[in-house]
Amino acid sequence: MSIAWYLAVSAIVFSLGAIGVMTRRNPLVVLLCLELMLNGANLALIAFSRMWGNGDGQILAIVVMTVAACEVCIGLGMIVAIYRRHLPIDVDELRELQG
Amino acid sequence: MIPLATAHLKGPHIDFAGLSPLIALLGGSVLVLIVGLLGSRWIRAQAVPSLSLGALGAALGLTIWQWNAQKSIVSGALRIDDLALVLNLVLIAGAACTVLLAWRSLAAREAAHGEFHALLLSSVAGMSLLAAAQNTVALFVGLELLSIPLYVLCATELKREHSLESGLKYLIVGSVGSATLLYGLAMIYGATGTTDFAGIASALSNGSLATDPLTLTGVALCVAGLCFKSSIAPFHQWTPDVYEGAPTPVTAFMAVTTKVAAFGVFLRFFDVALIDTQVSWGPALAVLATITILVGNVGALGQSSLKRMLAYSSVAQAGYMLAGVVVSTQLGVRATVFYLAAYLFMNMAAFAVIVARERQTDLGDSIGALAGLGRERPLLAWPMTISMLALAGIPATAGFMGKFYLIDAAVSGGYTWLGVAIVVGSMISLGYYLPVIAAMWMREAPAATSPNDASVLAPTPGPLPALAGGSSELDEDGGPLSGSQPEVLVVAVLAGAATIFFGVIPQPLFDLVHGAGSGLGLF
Amino acid sequence: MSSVLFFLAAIGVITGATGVVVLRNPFYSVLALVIHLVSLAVLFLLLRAEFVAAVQVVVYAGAVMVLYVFVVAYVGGESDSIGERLRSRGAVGSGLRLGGAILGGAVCVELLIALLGTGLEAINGYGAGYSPGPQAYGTPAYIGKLLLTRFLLAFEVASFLLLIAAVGGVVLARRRGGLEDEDERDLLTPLEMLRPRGTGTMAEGVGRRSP
Repeated sequence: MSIAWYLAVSAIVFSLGAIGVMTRRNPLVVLLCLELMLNGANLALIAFSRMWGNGDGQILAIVVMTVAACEVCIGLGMIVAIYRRHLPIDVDELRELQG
Repeated sequence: MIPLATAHLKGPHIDFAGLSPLIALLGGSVLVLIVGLLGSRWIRAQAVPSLSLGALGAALGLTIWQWNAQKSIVSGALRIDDLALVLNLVLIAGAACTVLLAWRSLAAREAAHGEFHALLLSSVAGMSLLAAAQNTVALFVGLELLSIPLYVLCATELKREHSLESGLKYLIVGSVGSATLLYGLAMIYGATGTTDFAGIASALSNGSLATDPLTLTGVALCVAGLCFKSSIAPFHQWTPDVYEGAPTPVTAFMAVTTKVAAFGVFLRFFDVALIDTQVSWGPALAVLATITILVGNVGALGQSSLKRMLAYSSVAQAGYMLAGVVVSTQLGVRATVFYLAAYLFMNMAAFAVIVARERQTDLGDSIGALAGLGRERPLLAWPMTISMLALAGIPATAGFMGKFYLIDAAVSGGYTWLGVAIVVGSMISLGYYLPVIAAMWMREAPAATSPNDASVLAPTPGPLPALAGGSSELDEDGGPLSGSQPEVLVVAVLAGAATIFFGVIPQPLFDLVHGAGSGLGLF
Repeated sequence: MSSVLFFLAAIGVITGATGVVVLRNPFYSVLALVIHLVSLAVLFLLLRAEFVAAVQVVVYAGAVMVLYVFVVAYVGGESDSIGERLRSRGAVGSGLRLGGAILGGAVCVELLIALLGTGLEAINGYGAGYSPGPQAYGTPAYIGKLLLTRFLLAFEVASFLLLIAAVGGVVLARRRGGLEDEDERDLLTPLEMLRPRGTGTMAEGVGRRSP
């Protein structure tokens, strides 16, 4: 298939991710939609890389994957921290009440 | 089987001298992380911040050592020139102020000092990288090294829910910005076939590529992504919430240094790589700048939280600085860099006073916390007054010189109306800066400002919160430490003094930024 | 053959992405993303990006998704209420659903116009010439060479980024109580370095310092 087909798929994936970020409320799903946006960009990078026959795009795609993993790590950490703050009975609080 | 020995790989030449400020910052970050693990509380609370100041000092020294260098290092990934070095100086000064402001903060204690300062230093390293990046891969990785520690820093007051929420919100908005920027970079790569700024510029300079829809959409997406990062309207909505929710020292850091880094990218990427598409993005950015100035200044009117007010004010200031990018002349670059430096002093003075008052009163960052400050603590009131006047652009302050320089650049670049917008915006801004000054000098101090009273009078219904540690944060903040916070006072006084100094004698700063304009090959 | 594979994979990519956006249950969204990622890896293979495709499957569809599944299982339905709180305080993209969808659709149309309306001829071709070999385009050797020469700096900085992300994750998610106790409010003196705990100093005797 010609490169244009791959680019069309990448644009659709990017836009789907953008729609998800704007419409979904659940922060876990918002993080997943951010992944979609990055993946759309990655597909475009790889397709352009193939088109030009040089590796720059692939390198950027690998860097993006690293970055995406870092963002997921931080994002999930924050969600867990917020969740813990709202646990009905926190283990730490319990200890504090007992003295 | 592939014979491995056939590939005689020769690594690139690494100019360690040019890279040394970055190495100092990253090395300092790791060192601080390790020292933070040592057992003694004294080491954690005192030695860790001192060490990070040391790392910043080393980076400062190495930056000055590299002065007047003109070179591309690590196979063309970074460009060490006057622009990068001047921005480095501003970044390091901002980070040093933040370390001082965070010395006794709750945020650093809750995140554990080692981790807090390691994140801070790595974020500064990301900014320094960003200001020097000259290929899009280094640009993206620098942007993320800036952002990811900052998301965590926003959330470091883990017991306060707003802090965590502001961190999550910043993460989501920031990542949308990164993804948008990335798609833009992908499109520009697709149009030109290279990731080097020089390669992009030469590909765009011949043929009709500069007006190709692929290139233009790529540029538009890059603008949108960077606008998210530097809070330029209409991508600024996150700014007040995040600035208000983040711990105040981190807010100060965000407000100043992310702007420096983002404008560093604006200057280098747009004025070097995309200079041939300037006819397309110049007017668009000028319109964005005007909208930003209006939105920021109008939004700041009537805010009762100082941090929210400064957030909107920083949106407006970003609009002013964008004027220097729009014209893409040497004069514009110099004006933007000058304003960035002035902006550092003005904002650090204001945030230092807010930090000090947050610890002395239980009013948080509301404007009431400043009431009667002029009579009670003139050493805090004067820097705040100077900062507010400078942000509004009153003569004899650095803010005035900066605005004057920007208007000069806008007018001589053919954007007279943008200069008018800056003037109108400054006039509106008096409407929210002056009430702050009035509150300090004309209003009476509220009854319960002294720390001991505050802890007694604080609304504690019954003995239960005391048992559950509910009022402990108050004790911590307002109790034994409130009397002695010399480092915050030093930041406030020095930043205020620098604002006045560079307003009256701007020549040293002019000389400093002079070289920054000449390195980019503009006329 | 390759066109059939392309259409199958492209359908998988788009269905997976749609599933992430529309499915109610976050757990199903994660599973939809796994389908999306694996199909995306097939597209990468078709574009001769072997190494990237392998990384995609191993790192993304493997490791990162496992992390997601754990957090979804831990937080469960509670995450909806976190989102509500975020939204009520000024909102992450506060627009209505319809507005968001329309804006996203507009972005999609604009991107398609830009990508397909370009004057570049190569976009309708099948990519640059390709000759198989041990160091051909897209192989691990090719990528490794680029990472260690031209993009050395990005490679090193990315490794540092992973370290910092790990530190950040620890800061956010560790259980409080270990480092930050009540007694951390004591006055901090340099002397405490020299006085180990539990050695019966006077401060411990009067309860100023817990052993």
